[in-house]
Amino acid sequence: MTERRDWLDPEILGAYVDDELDASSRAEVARRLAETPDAFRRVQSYKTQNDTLNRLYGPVADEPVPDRLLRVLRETPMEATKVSGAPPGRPPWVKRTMALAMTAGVALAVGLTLGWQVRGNLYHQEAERIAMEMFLHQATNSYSLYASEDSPWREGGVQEDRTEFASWFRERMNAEISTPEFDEAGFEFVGGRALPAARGSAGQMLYRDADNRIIAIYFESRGGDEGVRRAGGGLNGSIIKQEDTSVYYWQSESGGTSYAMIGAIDRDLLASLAESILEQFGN
Amino acid sequence: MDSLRSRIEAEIPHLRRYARALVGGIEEADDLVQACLERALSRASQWDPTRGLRPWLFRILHNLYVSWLRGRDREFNFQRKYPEHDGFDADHESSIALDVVGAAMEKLPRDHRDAILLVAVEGLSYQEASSVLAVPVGTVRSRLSRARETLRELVETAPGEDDRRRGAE
Repeated sequence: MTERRDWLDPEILGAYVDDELDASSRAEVARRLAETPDAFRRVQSYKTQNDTLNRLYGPVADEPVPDRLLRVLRETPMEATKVSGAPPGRPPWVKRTMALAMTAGVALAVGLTLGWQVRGNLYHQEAERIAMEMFLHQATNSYSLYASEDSPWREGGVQEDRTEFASWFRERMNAEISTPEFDEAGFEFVGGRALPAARGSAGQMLYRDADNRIIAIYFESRGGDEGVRRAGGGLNGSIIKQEDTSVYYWQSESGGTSYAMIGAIDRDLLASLAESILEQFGN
Repeated sequence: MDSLRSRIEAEIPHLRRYARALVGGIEEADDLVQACLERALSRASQWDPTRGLRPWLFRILHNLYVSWLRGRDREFNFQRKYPEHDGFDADHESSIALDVVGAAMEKLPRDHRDAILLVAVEGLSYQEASSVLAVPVGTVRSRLSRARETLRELVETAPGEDDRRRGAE
């Protein structure tokens, strides 16, 4: 009885609908929902509410922005920002990576729209897919902010030792992450940093080769990982490509940590680097 | 236009939507958004680029909204002026009459309504909503939950809902 009350409490079910639970709690709730029609109906009803609220308030965001607001945006003098070193105008790395982020954004919008129509036991699957799209969106954004060749923030505040970074992240964020090395392929570890994450904890690792090419690994951990090794064989990663940037992404065995490797390098090279992680962390 | 301005521009539709849901009237809502843009640009140095832009803008908007409310009658007078949404598919499987939900939203305590708008409509995480509303994450979670339960109750007991269902058959 106690268990039932804890796991199927309306607050927990709400957090389930909002994708605010860590991986193991989410799985636990999903399992209990399958055998508890009352709670399942409550989840359905929350989802219906979300759907209805979006139809009620959503259309405002599709209206054209009034001129007076655009004028204010253009004409209000802006106090200098903290990033005094940033070049004037939109730097090329923003243009390049914004396209990539927008692709993820479109995918997210499509995912959300589809999400509203999904019913019954497809729901859980759909929530996973949306979470993955949000993850890719974060990954590409963090690449554009921190990893591109002319990013003003690239070298600042990184932890420069690979193994120290793993243990530092473990202690600070209470999350186990894999910090692979690509020395053989000529990419050396530049540094790692923790990044703000809406859910769980996140960070980024940077590698550079002799030609000054950079690859970044973005990761998000929701807890629940006891180790980084995957018992299964395949990496099961997927690759997407946008202009000159490729993204290879995969999840840890438990699904608790997601990784995305991003770089403006040849897609086959990126895939082979990512697959070498399997050799380092697989069986 | 530099990149912060264009990033803010991309947030305007979201700001307008939240403002409209908060205050109802188009002009009043856009006044809030305008004040929010002015304040954001003139305090651009206060934005920490490692944190999300949207929660920061929403927080400014929310604070302006709270002062706007103070300047009004304390007994809040929440007149929504939404156009009718006749174009929606009434046969949608999960459809609840929009006006019933709209009326139920007006009955929610303001704190509860803010929480559900930020999370369910604007897609903010609990953490982000907590920074917008300046309350702990646990408070966001419980306000949200109470909003959902109240809405459920109000919608299910709304008069006319049975007639509507019968009419749809």
